[in-house]
Amino acid sequence: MSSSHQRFLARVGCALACVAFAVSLGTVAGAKGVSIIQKAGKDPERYPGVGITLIKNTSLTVTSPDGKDKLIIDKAACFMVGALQRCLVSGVSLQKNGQTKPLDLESGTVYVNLTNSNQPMSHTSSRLPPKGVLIALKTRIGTYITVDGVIDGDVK
Amino acid sequence: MRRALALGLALSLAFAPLAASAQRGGGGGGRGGGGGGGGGARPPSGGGGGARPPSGGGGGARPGGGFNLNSDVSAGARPAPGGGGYRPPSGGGGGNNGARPPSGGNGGNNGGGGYRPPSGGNGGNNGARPPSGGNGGNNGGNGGYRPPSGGNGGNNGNGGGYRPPNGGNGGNNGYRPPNNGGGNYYRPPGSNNNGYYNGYHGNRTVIVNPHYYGGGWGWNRGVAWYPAYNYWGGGFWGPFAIGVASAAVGAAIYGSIVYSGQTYTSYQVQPSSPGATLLMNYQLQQVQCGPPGLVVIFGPDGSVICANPNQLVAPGEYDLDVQQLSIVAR
Repeated sequence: MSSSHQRFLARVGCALACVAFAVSLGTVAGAKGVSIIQKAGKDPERYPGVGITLIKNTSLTVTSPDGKDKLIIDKAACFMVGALQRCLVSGVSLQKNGQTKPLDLESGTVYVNLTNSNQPMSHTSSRLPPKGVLIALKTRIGTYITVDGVIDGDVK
Repeated sequence: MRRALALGLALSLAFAPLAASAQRGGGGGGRGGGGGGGGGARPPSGGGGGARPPSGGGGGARPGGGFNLNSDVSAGARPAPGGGGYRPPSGGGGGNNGARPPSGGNGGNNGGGGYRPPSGGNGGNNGARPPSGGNGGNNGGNGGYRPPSGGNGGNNGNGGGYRPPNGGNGGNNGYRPPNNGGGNYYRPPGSNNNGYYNGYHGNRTVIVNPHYYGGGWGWNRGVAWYPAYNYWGGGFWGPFAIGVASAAVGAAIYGSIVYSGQTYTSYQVQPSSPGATLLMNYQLQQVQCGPPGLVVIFGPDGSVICANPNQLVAPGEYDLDVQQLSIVAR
């Protein structure tokens, strides 16, 4: 096999890799988020496949994988940090079994990237993807709730 | 040729999980193993970054179903009648559609979507009211916010108001600082009723923000900023959660002042906070409160910070106009 032929095949191989990478990214863009809930002194519980919906730009809901429960973040002090919106959360409620009850929240932060490009975050090398959401909440009894994903629903 | 194709496939297989884990961020069971976690969000009072649950590798149990958060619900929480808000423990009577935290007073009527933090008074409608709020309004205004120790709720109020601690009687249209007054401006604790209203400042000098003027909330790209009651200064000066005895958790104390017989502790402003933007715009440098001859700015929720005077701002006491991100001489 000639060296030029080998170079050509190598390029084909790399092109395939790139396509596969792009496909995988596309999958990510359409994917839902992951939530981790860790109670004090317990192992973390992982909830892959949570839905993240922005409602009228005023609240953010995180729907459990089975679609039954919702975390509703509807009170926060929001401030633009660079291109990201950073919100200090003061009100979160849990919608479960037809009832909506407030979580006893200690603190919480939400980062939202409403742009169409990856955005750097402060104090970390991580970047938030387009429509990416990062939520970190801590309740009074020491439960940590994190959600990482992209907005997959936007109700105007 | 096969080798090249195999290389391509191997690369693609290697990329897919990488991308997936990148999307998963902090969670990442793959990275877990008890330690790690990685990447994710870090809860507030951290500068930025993301949350990382303790020992949070992720990977643990996989309930798959609903959220296991029953024990984190506020004790005594009641389902919100008529939808909308929520009412925390010890709330008073009625009140529709308004969120009411612990120790709240009597509920308001006809409200919609409001929020009232602990110790709130009588139920306001449509307005957020933080701890120790006063009496709620009826047929309430929309979207208002009233911080701790707020006074009486507004009636028939309209839109977007914010009222800081010790707020007075209900005003309409906007943000109302402690101890009354209506209007869009923030008034620190200790001030009296009937203050500025919708831009009226009386004879007080407004030092217009050199960077932002004109449109409301222009400093926040048009997005209204409302205080988060569970943070010192509503989170204006940084994400410092309020801990025991109202102290800001994780914040460095920056002196204190006594005003109207009340002591206000100041904390160090965090970069990338609205307060830091304010100081930067006025080219102010925060210093420890206490000595005379300083610029003293009363911020949301009974917060105070001090700075050295400069060519833009003379020594004295100022209130914060959070909508315009400007300061108003007292």
